[in-house]
Amino acid sequence: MTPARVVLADDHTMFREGMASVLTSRGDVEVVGQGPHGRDAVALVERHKPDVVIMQVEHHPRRAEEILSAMRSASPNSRIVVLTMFDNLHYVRTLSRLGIDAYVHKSSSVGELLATVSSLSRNPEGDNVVVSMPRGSLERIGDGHENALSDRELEVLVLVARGLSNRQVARELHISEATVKRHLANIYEKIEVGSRSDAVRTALAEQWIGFHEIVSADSDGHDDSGGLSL
Amino acid sequence: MAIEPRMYREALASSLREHRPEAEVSLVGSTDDLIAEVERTGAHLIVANEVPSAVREAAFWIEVSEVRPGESLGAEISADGYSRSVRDFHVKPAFEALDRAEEELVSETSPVTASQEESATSGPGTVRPDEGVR
Repeated sequence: MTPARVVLADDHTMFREGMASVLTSRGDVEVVGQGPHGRDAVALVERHKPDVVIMQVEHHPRRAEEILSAMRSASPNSRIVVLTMFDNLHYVRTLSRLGIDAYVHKSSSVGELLATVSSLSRNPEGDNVVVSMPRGSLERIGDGHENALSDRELEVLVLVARGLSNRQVARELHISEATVKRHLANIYEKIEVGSRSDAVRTALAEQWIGFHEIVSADSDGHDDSGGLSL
Repeated sequence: MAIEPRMYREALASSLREHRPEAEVSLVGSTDDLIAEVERTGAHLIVANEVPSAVREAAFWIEVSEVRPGESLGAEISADGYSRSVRDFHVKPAFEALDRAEEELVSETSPVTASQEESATSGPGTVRPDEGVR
């Protein structure tokens, strides 16, 4: 059987080297390229056109969309496995819409990742998304108000949780300050809270947004958050 | 070895097992388990997100920073009385620390050889900062 050709993209060198070692020790996988995630990974994928891309994705959804779109353009037939520390369902849903083939939380086992790669490479036409994430996060599907909040409202909540003012949120999302206020008013009404701090606290407690989304710097290496003010 | 998340722990362990097949690698999930495992096995190298002070004197150790999105994975490495920090931890320093631990183990179990080495070198078993871990 021809080995599945894999590109591995993650910023953490130890993890990347370890995973490459695990993958190449199997006879059915060939790691054709490895490096940090982001633009470098897109270049690797464009050059090698691998069967499977295993890539770290821990960006704001708009940045994730840019990277994944570039990945798709570079190699439309590659199956994309996202590795992440984000464990909230909103992020899974967003990335699923961006065309990923698997969402694997880093708390998963190496065996689960290997099974995912094997499954995707054997079924290049498969349309299902493989998801491996903490049970507690999955058990919250359908609970509470998450489904009532729109993607944009969740996006606003993440930025508010980062400590951004309404004006800063507006600038970040390229919308008006009045629109931000309208989104917040809608959020308060939907989840029955009276303040931005209550809204953030509820969203974190219910795991509609993830702590890692709040504390992570964006992909350009700067973090414009003013910290978490609850 | 006690590092989170699980995938990192297993990836590093697999790499060590593949490249140093003579090493016995134990994986544990908590600090309490780590202390107990070090006492049980007499471990020569500890790799953990938090190396308890209770076991720091007992073995060489590598303290790996907590995994956070957007941040590099640093580590502090202590081997044979010498410690250093690395901003981007990779597998090679782990191999080097393991090799160093094995050398010490061999010298402990071969007193004649250790004595011979001691007489032939100026500083037995001590790594100067400019030499690196190995």
